[in-house]
Amino acid sequence: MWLAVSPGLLAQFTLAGLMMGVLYALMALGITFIYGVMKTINWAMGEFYMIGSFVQYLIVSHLLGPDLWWLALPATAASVFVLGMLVQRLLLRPMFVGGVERRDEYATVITIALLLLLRSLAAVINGPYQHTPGSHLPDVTLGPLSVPGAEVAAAVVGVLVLGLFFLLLHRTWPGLALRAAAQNRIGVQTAGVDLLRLDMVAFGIGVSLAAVAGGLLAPVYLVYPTNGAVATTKGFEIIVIGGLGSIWGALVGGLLLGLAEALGSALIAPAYQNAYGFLLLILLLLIRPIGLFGERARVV
Amino acid sequence: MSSEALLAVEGVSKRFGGLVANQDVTLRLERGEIRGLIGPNGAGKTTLINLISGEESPSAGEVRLEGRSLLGIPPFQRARRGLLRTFQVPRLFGTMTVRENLLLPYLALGGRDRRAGRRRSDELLERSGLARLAEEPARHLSGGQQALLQLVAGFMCDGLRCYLLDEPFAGVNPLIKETMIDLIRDHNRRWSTVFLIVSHEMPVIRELCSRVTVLAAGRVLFEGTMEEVARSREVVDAYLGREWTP
Repeated sequence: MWLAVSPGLLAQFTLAGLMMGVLYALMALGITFIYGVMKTINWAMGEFYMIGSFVQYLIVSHLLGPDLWWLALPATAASVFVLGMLVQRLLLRPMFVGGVERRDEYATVITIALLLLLRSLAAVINGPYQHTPGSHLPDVTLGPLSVPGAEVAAAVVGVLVLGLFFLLLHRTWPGLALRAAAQNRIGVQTAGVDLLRLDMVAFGIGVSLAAVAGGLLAPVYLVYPTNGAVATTKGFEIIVIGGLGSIWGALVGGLLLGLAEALGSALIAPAYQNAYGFLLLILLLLIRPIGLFGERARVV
Repeated sequence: MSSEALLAVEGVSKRFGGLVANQDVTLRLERGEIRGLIGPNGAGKTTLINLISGEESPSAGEVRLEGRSLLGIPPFQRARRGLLRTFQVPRLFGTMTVRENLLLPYLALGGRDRRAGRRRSDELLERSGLARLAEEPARHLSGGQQALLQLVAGFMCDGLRCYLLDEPFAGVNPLIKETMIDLIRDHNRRWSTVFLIVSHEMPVIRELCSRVTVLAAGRVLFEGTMEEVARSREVVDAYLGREWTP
């Protein structure tokens, strides 16, 4: 059975897996980035993916049309960035100023409540309907494999967004402050950084990464109120694989998950696509419980 | 004494539940002064530093910088007013380079010109002997070098008025200690920066500080020159117990 697949086909599947992995990585990067700076987990990440896909769909179908999808994407990212900042300001900031003792629990309760609220709101407003913004991009043939153009575009733009994110982090002043905050929240305040404001920015950036993934995948998968659930699951699978709080872990973990799903589908059976990631996760937990790039404790 | 000291700690108390860490502490530092803050372990020195820098808020009393109350002002805003501090265990950014560790406070405290920040960091790295480590991650530095880097980071700030140093020399080798002393002296001479230095290293305190405040059991036990402190019976008692005779 293993040799039933030709090397050429295997290469195609590998490429397809890596392409999907880029979008998984975006999702995971958002989670790990917010955790890195704020030390809290945003369980509602998938709902921002969902909102991103809806905003993209609305802009494309009502304003710009499928040909200008690339123009809609920055608008999607920007609007979810602002929404994220608002959510952080109103719901999460109180735990940093009000002397909340168990921040992890507080953040868990708040973000899970937010998850339910956003998902239910979307269901109420949208109803049970599924949408697609559509795409005019022609299919791309990768050897024997024909891939929808929107999927290729999503992967390419995904790589670009990852590049932008790294530029922001390593070449700009807010990036420097964000990296510093991820390492030492007290030290960064002593150095004169307004951490409460920085948290807002971090949360905004994190959720807009999820929104970008949602916007890019809107024409690939359907747009509906619960489409964030899968995104959340994959995002957290990657976090466990890569290690919580690690940017590289999110990237490598995302690509690995994409690969595992594609190769599992090719070599074993496509029906269990979602199981291969968990298999990888369980294997990794047995070998290295802290994840690929995880740290037991941060050492300064 | 002039009407308003640069840094004024007025009747500050701090209680943690039943534990009294600071009791009615009053301290006035004039512009250009280097003050030592000494006392036995558990005397409340670090708590006092935390109260001044804003990490903790006092149960009573207040802290003023250049006549303005710091009540309710968070640490980052105190830093922007020129009140900086170091920690006993250096709070550096381990995976960031030595230079980035310097650029961060520079940019956070109002420096917007990266090139000027780079020049300043070059100069300080040169003078502190860390130049060849500029692009190394800070966590690769030795403990002493980390303490030095932490000290130098404050000097990146243009508006530095008052620098609180919590055990800056602990575990630092003599060579680096000398460098630190030179840097502190130089900055103090050039900009009249006020320093409040917590330390157990009496020779260094004697060398640097014109006046010393002795804290014991959360209260100010004594204030004066190092010579006066050394002659004070109660200080000696507080440090060594009452059995000790010279």
